[in-house]
Amino acid sequence: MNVGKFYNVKSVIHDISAELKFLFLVLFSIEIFFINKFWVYMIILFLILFLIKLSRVPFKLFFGNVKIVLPMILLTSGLNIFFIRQGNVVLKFFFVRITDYALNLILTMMCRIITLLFFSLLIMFTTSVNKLSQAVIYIFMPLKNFLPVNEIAMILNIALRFIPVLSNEFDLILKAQKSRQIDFDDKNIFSKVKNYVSVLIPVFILSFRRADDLALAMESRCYNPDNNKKKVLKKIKFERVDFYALIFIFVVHVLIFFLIISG
Amino acid sequence: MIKFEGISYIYNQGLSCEKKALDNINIEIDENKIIGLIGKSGSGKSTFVQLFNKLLKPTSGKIFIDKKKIGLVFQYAENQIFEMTVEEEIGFGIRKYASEKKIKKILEVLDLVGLDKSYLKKNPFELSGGEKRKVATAGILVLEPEILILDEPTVGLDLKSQKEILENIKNLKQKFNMTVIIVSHDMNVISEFCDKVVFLRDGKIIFYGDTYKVFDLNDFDLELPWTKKLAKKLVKKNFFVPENIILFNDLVEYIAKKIREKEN
Repeated sequence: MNVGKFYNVKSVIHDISAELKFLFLVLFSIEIFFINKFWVYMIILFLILFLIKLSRVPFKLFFGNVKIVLPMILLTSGLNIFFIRQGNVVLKFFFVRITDYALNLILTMMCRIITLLFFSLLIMFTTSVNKLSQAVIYIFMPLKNFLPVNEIAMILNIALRFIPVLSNEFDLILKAQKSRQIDFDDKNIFSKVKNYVSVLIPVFILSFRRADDLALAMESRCYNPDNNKKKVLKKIKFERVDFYALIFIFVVHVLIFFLIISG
Repeated sequence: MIKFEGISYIYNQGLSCEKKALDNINIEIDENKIIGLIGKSGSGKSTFVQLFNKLLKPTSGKIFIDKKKIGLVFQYAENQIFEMTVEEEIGFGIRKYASEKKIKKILEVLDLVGLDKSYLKKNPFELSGGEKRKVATAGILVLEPEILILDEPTVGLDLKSQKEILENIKNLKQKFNMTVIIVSHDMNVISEFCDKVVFLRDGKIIFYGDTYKVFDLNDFDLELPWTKKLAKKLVKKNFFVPENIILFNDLVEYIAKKIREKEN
């Protein structure tokens, strides 16, 4: 699993300022909930694939992550398909009725999650954790009187920073349990779940211990979120690549806006 | 037979963060001996041991191991504990055994790692670091491995626990005549407990042979065991010490013998 890992290569997407990328991600995450046409998602997905190509991050890293989430998406979609009764029936067997409305809704939902996942992964792979948390501070700074901006940035920073660490730990404990003859490829789903408990319990214990240690280490180094407020943030330099990115974002948003309206 | 032929292993192959951990490893390891695996951090030791029980598949090359049961005790083995009693924790690998046979085996391995039966119903999370590691090792031993691999078995333990664990390993090897592979950074452990040593550097095998010989390599860049350090200092002061003396008791014996000879 490569969630949260910065993929360090030189590319146009890597060069775009983290603030702009984060802002685009936030706007995009909101907009995507207004789109309910399958073909619009296809256009957006195509655009994201183009951006991935520009980023020089291998496609297999993205697909690997989608593969992990896919069973969950399929499970929720599978449950929905049987319970939505609205629309015209397109398939009927025994007591199950599948409607065109349910199919469209599920397809849209799946596309929404996959598109969002691809886009968030693109941002994470092309932006280092430090830059991302700095971007959060910049963007939310106007709200500092209402929101603990520094604390949010620190939480985000730590959360993102420790995803790869926990992922490695999970992998290591999985291997340790495999060497104790615990079968994680068991066909029986109940045994499989039971066997995974042998990994989850140690991972939870380790992550709590790690959180405890980190809190103590931060305290012993006199971490005080209020001190950060006195820090002078460095000015954002608006490079040429950011200007092009801004034009791209504007064009994409106008396109999405017209697609939503026309839909 | 434990044989590696042209083994290479690359992490994240094809990505920008690709790293070659093992590079064309060719070795036939002696059986029924305690083998030390040494090298600096990042030299490929942990990758090498994970190839034994197929937790990793080599990028290229072939592995020939005619033993079926290979037990691997990971670094900080106590982190893999998850059951609520020592009995359940050790018995997890043999949970399909009949209860009488199971408890007999658990008691057997508990004794092998130097714990008594009063530990059976204890919560493993409430034990000391050394005891936890003994329980985790017992969880592997209960599977009766023919090859036992221990990745840094003494790291993070106090000296007394280190000694206990290593003595247990030595007794185990003598009792079952198994092949034991110990990965360690501690050369005192290696010199005292290992018959032979594999020395890795940048994913390549630099040396494989008798333990005492590795410390006399010209390009040996690890910390020497302190007995060897003392022997080398004595040699510098014109007091000859044979190169195969690397154990404390042997060195004391030798010096005492020389003093007696001089007195006579």
